[in-house]
Amino acid sequence: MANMSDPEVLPDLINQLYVLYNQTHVVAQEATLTGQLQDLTHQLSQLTDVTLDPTQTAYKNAVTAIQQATKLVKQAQADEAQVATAIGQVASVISALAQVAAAVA
Amino acid sequence: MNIHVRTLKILLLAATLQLSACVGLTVNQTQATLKFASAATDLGTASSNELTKMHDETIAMNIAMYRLPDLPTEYNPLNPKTQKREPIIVTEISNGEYNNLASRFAGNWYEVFSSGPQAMKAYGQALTAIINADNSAKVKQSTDSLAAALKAIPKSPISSATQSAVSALSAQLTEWALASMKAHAIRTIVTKYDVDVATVCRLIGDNFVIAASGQHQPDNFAEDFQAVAQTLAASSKTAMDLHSDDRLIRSDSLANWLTAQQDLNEVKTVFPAIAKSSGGCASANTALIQALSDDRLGLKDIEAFYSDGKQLQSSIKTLSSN
Repeated sequence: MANMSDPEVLPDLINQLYVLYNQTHVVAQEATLTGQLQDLTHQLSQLTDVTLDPTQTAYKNAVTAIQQATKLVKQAQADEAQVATAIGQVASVISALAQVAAAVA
Repeated sequence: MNIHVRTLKILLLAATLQLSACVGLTVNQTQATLKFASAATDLGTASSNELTKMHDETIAMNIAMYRLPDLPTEYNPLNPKTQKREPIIVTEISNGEYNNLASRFAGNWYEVFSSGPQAMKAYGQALTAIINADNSAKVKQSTDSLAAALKAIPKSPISSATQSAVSALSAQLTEWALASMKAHAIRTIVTKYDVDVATVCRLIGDNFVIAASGQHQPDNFAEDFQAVAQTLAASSKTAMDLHSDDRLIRSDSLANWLTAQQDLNEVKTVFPAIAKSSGGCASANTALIQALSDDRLGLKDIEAFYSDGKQLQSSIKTLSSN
């Protein structure tokens, strides 16, 4: 995690952002630049975490985990719905094969 | 018996034995999941609404502070007899606090804290939805299509008499597979994240508890809110006392005092209810973990299993006799 107390960190990040901004006008390496920008954004977001104490950070991590759990529950429900209709898809294939078999016969 | 029907029966029975070994959630586990989901949704909804209200009311009360008349320098509205200090509003202006009328109900920690109740609410709603999800109509439609497709195959061993039995048997097997999937998903997810749920429940509850006098908790939203309301109430009362002959000041101060009293009443009634709800959610989470670790079947589970068995037997009997 970037250290907010280090006076070099924030100016350095801003400088890197400025350099990247200029590069977007002259270099067509979008993927690389996007990756670098994402990395910088991540570092900047970590800088804000410095304002949270350990208990608050633990809470934030727990909230993120619960949000992940919610996504997994929703995914599991979607998977169930897919399985419920899977046999119907098999039936469609069997029907198609039966029609082919009847045509050949 | 037709060789194809015999093969089909063996396959179906093998699948039945396989699936019956994978137990879905018991009635007790299902109820424990629904109870926790309801507790999480209730806690998330109540605390999320209250945090929004605390944010809005804090802004309203801080604006009201600026409408109060200047109090004498020697007055400390919170403790007029023992301490002296300059009027609060002077301090606030000199500190530039009008730039942040929401006080502690803004900023990084408030945003992070507010995401907790929303996450609990969404988690509770998702668990309720998956438990109550009913795919039986989709399953029946699918297995009816399967039986019809099998019957349509030239020289198919499935007759008109056995078509519905094939559909019913396939439907039952699919329902068991779905119940098993659901149980696996809930067991895995709930067990993996139970510590995180306990952490969030506890910290939400802690922030709606007013500590005993003299035991101020740092970064506590309930106490911060109460402090703003107490300051407004005391300042408004002082203004009324000092300017009782000024109709505009006394009526304005009375309105502010009533606002502060309403908010203090909220502190006394709603906050304890949310703290209690937080404890209930944590207990429901613990009970759910215990229930998921106990796969013993209850009477209702056995009755349901018996009913499924009878249905299964009926379907197989129909297939055997044709």
